[in-house]
Amino acid sequence: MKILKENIKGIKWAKFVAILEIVRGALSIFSIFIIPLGVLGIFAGVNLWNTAKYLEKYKNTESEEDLKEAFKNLSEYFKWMGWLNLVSLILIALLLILPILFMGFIGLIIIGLIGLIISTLGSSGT
Amino acid sequence: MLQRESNLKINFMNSLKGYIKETGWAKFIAVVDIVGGILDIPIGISLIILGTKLGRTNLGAVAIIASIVSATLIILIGILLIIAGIKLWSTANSLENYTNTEKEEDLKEAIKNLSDYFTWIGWVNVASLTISAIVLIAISLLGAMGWKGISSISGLD
Repeated sequence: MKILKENIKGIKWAKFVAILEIVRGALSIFSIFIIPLGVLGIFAGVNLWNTAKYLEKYKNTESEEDLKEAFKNLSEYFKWMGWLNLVSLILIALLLILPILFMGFIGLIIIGLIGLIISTLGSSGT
Repeated sequence: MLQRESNLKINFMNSLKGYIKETGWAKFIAVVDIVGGILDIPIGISLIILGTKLGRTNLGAVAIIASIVSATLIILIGILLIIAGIKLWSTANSLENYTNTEKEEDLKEAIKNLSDYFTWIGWVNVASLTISAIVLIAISLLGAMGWKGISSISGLD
């Protein structure tokens, strides 16, 4: 298991990314639109922090339980980050589609109004 | 003694397998990172073109510097994201291989790629924070310039 231990690096980077995820998640409270993303980010951040913590512990203790806990948390991190990415993509798609739908709706109203005006003018003329 | 150690190792490798899940999600994140990274490059180039056009207006040097620095960082983020995505894809692949073959080499490879992924994604975050700071400073400077202009026109000076 010594070979495994030697390959574990970048723990500080993982902790840095975890802190950023948690802080970003906490800041999302200021906007209702991105609160779901913030919640997912906090879960992901906590799991990533735990992954880094257990990997660090494993490096010191070489305890199998620590490595198992690290992988358990890593799997959870992947799951939450996956959902975070998925929800982000859906929100981006909505942001792109909604204005088009809105403009289409406004367009339909304008066409309807023009039609109404023309038919009113037509009937008053006869 | 050696036999006992070897058996313990096999048992451990077997039980560890049960804790490795969600590699599908990892691959999905990797694809999003790579696609996002690829998209960042044309966005960065467009920002440089926009910056040079804004430079000809009254916004001048602030707009040029802010847009060129931000654009460079966006392109850099794109490249870093692509590398991080590839590393994460390799991690997921190695983990999947490990769950099938139980070879220690695969686990070693997965941990190595995961460590690299954390490093690259850490740099992506550093670059993103730098862009946020530049954008904030540029907005403040442009706001101050705008306020100065309004004050001079309205005679508030």
